[in-house]
Amino acid sequence: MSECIEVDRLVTASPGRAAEVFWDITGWYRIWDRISEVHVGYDDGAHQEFAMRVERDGRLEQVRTLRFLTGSGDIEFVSPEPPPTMAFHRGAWRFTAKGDHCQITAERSYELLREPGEDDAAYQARSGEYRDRFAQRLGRILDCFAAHFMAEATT
Amino acid sequence: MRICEQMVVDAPAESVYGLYADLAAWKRVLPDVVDVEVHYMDAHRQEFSMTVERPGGLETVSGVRHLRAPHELELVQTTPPPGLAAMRGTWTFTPENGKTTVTASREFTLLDPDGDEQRFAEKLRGFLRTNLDLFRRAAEGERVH
Repeated sequence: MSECIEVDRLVTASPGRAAEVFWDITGWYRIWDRISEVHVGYDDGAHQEFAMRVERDGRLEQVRTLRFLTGSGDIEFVSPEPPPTMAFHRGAWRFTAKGDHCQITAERSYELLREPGEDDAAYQARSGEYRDRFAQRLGRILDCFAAHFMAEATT
Repeated sequence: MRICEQMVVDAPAESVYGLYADLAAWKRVLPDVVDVEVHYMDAHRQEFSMTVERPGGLETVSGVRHLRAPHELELVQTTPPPGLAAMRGTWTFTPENGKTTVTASREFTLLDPDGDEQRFAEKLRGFLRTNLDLFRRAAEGERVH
């Protein structure tokens, strides 16, 4: 069962500056400390391939990601090696000007893998709980970036 | 440096595009392709590795393709061929009277800034022309059968 999530926050930055900070994956750990061991295999400014370690729900996951800067200045990504609990995982960070601010929207599409012997009802219940946790996590990531941009704006 | 080669294929754009988009077909169409591994694929993007026979031995490149059916495929080689710092390009498919003009463009940067760009461009044009013709034959053959 595939799921879609959208979470947004308003930050004190231009869309261009916000996209620039989100694109710099090697600097993410200073803002969102759940990632480590980032290795960028390719980056031409519009295409990026990297591997990293992510802490999620108390466990460490190794993921590999391809990101694309779109013509409209958004960042889309896919996970050729998705988190181990998922069948697929892809998404986007979208940056929209709102006056002097930028609305950042986190989009995610994914599908949780079934656990052995899990029936439909149990799977759907677990998917619902996971979806809520995932949305909260995205909100926390965006809150960390919002705090970063606020600090940038006031220094 | 950017180069471009073109060929008209006597087949509809949808089927020509479909042949180029199908990475499994590359091994069938191009005799120098030894292996193709698809690492990721959805309706819009592919990530793959391809091993080809070259005079100097086997070369493996990796890349990402953007699928814009049935008009364009965009390629970025995240692991370009030996001697290149960067390689990207497109195939565009322009329909006209039931035929399709396929335009293959490539933009490359040599690793050696003092390298002979023109010489490499001529070699690359040769590969593009050969591949365009092999795909033309395959597309026209598929249409007949």
